[in-house]
Amino acid sequence: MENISKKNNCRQTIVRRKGEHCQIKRSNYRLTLSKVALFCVLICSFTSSISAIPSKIHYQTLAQDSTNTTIRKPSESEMTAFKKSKDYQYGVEESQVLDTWWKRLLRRLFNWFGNLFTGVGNPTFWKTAVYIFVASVVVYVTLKLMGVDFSGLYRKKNTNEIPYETLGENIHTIDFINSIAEATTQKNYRLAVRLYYLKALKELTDREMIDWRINKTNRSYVYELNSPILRPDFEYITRQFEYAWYGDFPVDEEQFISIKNQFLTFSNSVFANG
Amino acid sequence: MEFESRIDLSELHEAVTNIRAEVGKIIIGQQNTIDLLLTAIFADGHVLLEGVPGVAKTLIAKLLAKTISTNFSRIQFTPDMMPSDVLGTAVYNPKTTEFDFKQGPIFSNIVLIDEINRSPAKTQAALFEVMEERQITNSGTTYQMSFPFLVMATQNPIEQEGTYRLPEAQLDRFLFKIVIKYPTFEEEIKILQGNHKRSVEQTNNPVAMMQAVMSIEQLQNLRAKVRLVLVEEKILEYIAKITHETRNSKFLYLGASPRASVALLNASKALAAIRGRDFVTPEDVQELAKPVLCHRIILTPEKEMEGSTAEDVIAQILQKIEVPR
Repeated sequence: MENISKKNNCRQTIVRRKGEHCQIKRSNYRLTLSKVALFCVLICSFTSSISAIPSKIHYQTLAQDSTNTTIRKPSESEMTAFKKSKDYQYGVEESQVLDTWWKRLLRRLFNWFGNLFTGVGNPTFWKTAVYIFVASVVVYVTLKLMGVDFSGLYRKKNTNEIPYETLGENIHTIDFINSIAEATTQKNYRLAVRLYYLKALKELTDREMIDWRINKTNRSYVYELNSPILRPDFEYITRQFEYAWYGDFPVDEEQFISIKNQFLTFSNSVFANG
Repeated sequence: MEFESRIDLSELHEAVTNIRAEVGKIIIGQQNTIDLLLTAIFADGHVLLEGVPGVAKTLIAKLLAKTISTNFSRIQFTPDMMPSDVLGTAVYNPKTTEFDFKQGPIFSNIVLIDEINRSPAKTQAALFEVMEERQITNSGTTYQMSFPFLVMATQNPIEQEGTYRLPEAQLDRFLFKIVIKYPTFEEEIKILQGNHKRSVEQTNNPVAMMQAVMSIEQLQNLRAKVRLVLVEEKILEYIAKITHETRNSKFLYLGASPRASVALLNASKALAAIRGRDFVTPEDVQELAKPVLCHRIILTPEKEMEGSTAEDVIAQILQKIEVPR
């Protein structure tokens, strides 16, 4: 019994599958048929449209119009009147009475720029862009050749400026005679030694024996001095100055007179050899 | 009229002369390098020696270390080196059933780190604490380094393959970066003559020939004297202006740190003492500005593209600032 029922089930399944298969086949046929029909309709309509074209075209020749035409041109005054008329100004209305000349100028500038860049499709846009590009390149190259530094343009400006004061002491503007006399009166001998040294530097600079620069050290001036007569003396007074000024050595009156004499001797040598 | 020095610098002068003579037995030329190394020793600062291969970077460092009777160790930095290979590590002791700290090669007085830029950042970072604070902390325990502690590191600026740029924090810990250049033609001939002579005499181990000419106690005394060197207020301002200017320069992306100012001050004091003065002059500051500052600053990309160097920018800064007088 079981075997029979199994066989029946199998048969039913086979029949069902066969039925499904037939259904799929049928729908495929329908689809193909509809495609073919559509193709035929398209072919027919195309051939009918071709056949509708006459095999030979007959052109009709129209009679030439020989009547005299006169071109009417509006007069200049009329055109100016039209242009000034508010009715024909469709753009931005310019209230010339109320606006100041500055506002009107700005508006016209904006309008002019607006016309230049009315859109990427506008031929004037690309033309203007190329001109601007070429001009920028020329300006950049020229400035670069001139050695202009552009780094400051795109670098954030340093707001933290130098918080110290540069002395900017110019040896050419110091009144040495009075300054030395004042320092000596106040018994500020260290300062007096410093002033004598600056005076010596000025004398050498005046005779173009050294080139005075704020960044140069005393030793630089010693090496710079070419005169074999002056150099040992200058080296000696430089040493005196360095010990008194940088070394903070106390200088009493007796020591000061000795140092002062050395400076005066050197000054005389400069005058003699300069 | 002669001024008498307030600090007795005769001992220092003698030590410097002896060291120069001892190192000069082997090293020809490089006077500026030797002077800067001596300045670093007296200013208690670490030194980074930079130069192309074969210019005696390692030899100079080794010879100088040998002139002081201290412990010396050498660490060859390699790409696979770990921080524990330098500092030391905790090792389990089965007898005590505890972890014992086994000290690494950094535990010495003068440490030569050869090719420091061959190790990655993590190994270089291990040196931060020991270089600045002279101590090492491991597993919660701090170990103080014995006196003196000086790191001399070498690096090759040309080779890029397998090297790592030193972190800024580490560069800042070096007092000087000394760039060793090629010897002159005459110096090179002398080098060859010396080498040939040693080869003939079969005494080709130059380090073995060296003698210690300064003890630790001596070095301690001399450093104490260097610390007493006088610095006038205007010179302090001058140092501050130079450092400040590096921070305001439009050519620099990174300026020098306050540690750089202190380094310039200490180095200037040491150089003044070596030159027999008990006070600092602007000359000392100017001369040391480049070796102290150049490795601590970073140029802007535009300036680098122009081919400028840190030396150029420092020179420009020095030209801009008025020498106190």
